[in-house]
Amino acid sequence: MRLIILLLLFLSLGGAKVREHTLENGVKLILKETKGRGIVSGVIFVRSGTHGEEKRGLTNLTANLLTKGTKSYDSYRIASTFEDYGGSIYSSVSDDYLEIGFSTKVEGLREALVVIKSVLTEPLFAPEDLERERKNLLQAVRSRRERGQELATDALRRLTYRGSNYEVLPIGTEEGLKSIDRQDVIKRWERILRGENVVVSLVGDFRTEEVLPSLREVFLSVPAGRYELRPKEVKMEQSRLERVKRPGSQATVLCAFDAPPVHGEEFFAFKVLDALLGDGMTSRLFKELREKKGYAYAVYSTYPTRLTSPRLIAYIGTSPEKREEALRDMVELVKSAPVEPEEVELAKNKVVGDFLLARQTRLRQAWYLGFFEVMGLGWRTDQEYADRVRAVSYQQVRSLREKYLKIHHCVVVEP
Amino acid sequence: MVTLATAGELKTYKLPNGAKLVVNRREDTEAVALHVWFRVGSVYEDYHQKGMAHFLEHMLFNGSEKYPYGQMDYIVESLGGNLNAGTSKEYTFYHVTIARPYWRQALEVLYQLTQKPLLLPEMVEKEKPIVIEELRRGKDNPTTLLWEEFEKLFYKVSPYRDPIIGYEETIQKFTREELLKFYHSFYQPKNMFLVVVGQVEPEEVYREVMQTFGREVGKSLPRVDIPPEPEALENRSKTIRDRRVEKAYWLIGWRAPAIGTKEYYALALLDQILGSGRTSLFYRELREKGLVYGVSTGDLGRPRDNLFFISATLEENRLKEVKEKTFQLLSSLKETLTEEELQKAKSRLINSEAFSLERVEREAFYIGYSLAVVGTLDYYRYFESNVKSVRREDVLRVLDSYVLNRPYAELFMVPER
Repeated sequence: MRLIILLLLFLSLGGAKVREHTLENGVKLILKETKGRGIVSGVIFVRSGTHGEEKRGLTNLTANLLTKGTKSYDSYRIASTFEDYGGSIYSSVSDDYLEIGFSTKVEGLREALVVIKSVLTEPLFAPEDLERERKNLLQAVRSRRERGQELATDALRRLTYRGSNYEVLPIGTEEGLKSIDRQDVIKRWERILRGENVVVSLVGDFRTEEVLPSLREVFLSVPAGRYELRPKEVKMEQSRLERVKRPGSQATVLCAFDAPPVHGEEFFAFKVLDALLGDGMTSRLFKELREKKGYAYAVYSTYPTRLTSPRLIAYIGTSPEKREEALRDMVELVKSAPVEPEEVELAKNKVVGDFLLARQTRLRQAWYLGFFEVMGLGWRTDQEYADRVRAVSYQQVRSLREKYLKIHHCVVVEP
Repeated sequence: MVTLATAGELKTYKLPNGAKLVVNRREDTEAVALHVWFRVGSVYEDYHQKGMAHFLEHMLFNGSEKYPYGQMDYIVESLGGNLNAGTSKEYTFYHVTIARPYWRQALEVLYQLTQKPLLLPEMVEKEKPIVIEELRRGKDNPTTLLWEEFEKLFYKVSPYRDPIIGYEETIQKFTREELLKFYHSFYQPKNMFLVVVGQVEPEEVYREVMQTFGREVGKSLPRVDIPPEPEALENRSKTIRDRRVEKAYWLIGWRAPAIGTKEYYALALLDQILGSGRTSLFYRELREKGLVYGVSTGDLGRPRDNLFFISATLEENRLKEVKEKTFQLLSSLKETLTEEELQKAKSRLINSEAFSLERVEREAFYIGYSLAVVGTLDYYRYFESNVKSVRREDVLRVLDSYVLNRPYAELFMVPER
């Protein structure tokens, strides 16, 4: 069948212009005006994540406590500032950054920013909150054993990222969480909250000149300077397989494969290769392992964007009696399924389509703009994304196929 | 053509064959959501059909008259869109989200998918292991098991007690003939609701729909008796032990007003006050006081035998204390609920819609649900004014007549040590 050439290039998201401002302390503001029902979303990224974290789980616990009370606002007031307008506020940590995200109505933005300033500059980190959140997180760490996929994720991280901060999820370890005291939290926040590490993106139905003065006022309160991340690269050297026991009705197979770094020319072509292999109902993994072999209901691959130690991750959940064949066939397909020109075109369209559909909400738009910036790819990557995917050639994908996906690290969780 | 009503950009059409079409034209987005809903789900099945509505949903992806197996996925994905479907206890829906220029191709795919499926016997056999893998995948997750067991405890007669996906024994026995019969009964214009949300011209959509779905013949629908759940006379309590879980799960539920009834809006506010967000009563008094790891409340949005629940995760040795505290918070609401708190709950509930409707597929879902499950678009259309008209005494009356001193069912899932 002939492929329909996508017109998606001509579609921008509302055609809105993005503007960038760098404050004197290094904080980068990225602003995008939209038209709509008077709502606004923002994300404050702090480049940090679990890099340099000695007690595992410290950054995540710190993030958890940020919205639980400040010198001026208690937990209820922080939440109600956003929830009263139908919005919300959250904080979380990924491997490479901490984020505080929020949504509110435009008329509530000024008030929201005052609270955010307080969250950033005068968090309480109250001992009783610390104890409660620690207990909750310890339980959450233990609860990861309840689900096969989570157990597999943890085991695969230990196997494939050994010796780097990625070895453990940001939620941390029981040992790490138990050893954290209030001083650790205070120090961690002081260390990472540095102007040059902070990226703020705001997307909403506002006028930039009306919000800029309060944004400056709030984010100039962040101390200047830089928290240096020293990402440790873990190379994949030889294939490995690990088995983990867990009672249940399914086996989970999760594998990591060698992949190109995200900060290079190969990033977009590899995104296309990943989509070809494991995104959607037309992907290789879906067609072969689910439709032809009937191994599974769910099978897919992803190519997570991380600062270092790039991997392609592939997943299949199958019945225990099919696990060996499913493992063998999945590894085989990822490593050596042939790549056809038409598949590459289809995969490109999927990547562009997913990109557009993932940016329907202001919160997601703000998130992606800030994400590319905080990851060192620059927020313009978001604007160029569709073009750069479309520019990927069959030859590029083929040569990546030759170059990467040679080594696997696999985990099988089985009853 | 009969135009039923217009509310802002909302256009409603009734097709001559009985199908309904709702188009919501929106200027603020490049994405278009196209939904096709059928009023059929697992409660429409008889005992040996358990799992058939869901199985049929899978089967529809296995080839149509115009598009052979695999081609419908190919068309949608090659246009950068998403094609998917879902089956619940009351409805089944098929949906595409796609960039604006391609809504026509998506509509054609949805037409072929839902109205011209081949349902080939070899495909029935191909699909069985996939669906059974899906079933086992569900069972592998303790939370799925918790809910399955809970509904089995809560509903003694109603088919709500059976899981949507059915049972391995029933699925293995499905044949093409049975599937065809089920298909022809429910997948026809009189049972069909089409929803399109995005930057589209309603009249153009209507014309396009008339060329596709409009050509099908509407037949009378089979009478399906869904046995109502008799009033429970006493509390039911059950504990299950599971080797996989690390903490205790508590799930408690009461019979609740059906979605779309006047009392339902008071229930929605009660739910907002008790368990929605970090400003809610249970979050403050249970989660922030360190009694539970997590707590939530909700209802299942059912048009009959609806259920309101409270769910919490906690340490096993805290179960008694947490239950007592929960009941105490519920019964003291009569004294503690202020007018101001109610007003805040209203604005939270109403305003949060503005955020959830940013995604076209969310709005299409909301409209589809109103038509196919609630049975009237008024649910979607007048939600805001219905919520606004709720008074403090309405909330307290719902609390009193459905929750306090009413029989409940509760399930504990605790670690097996």
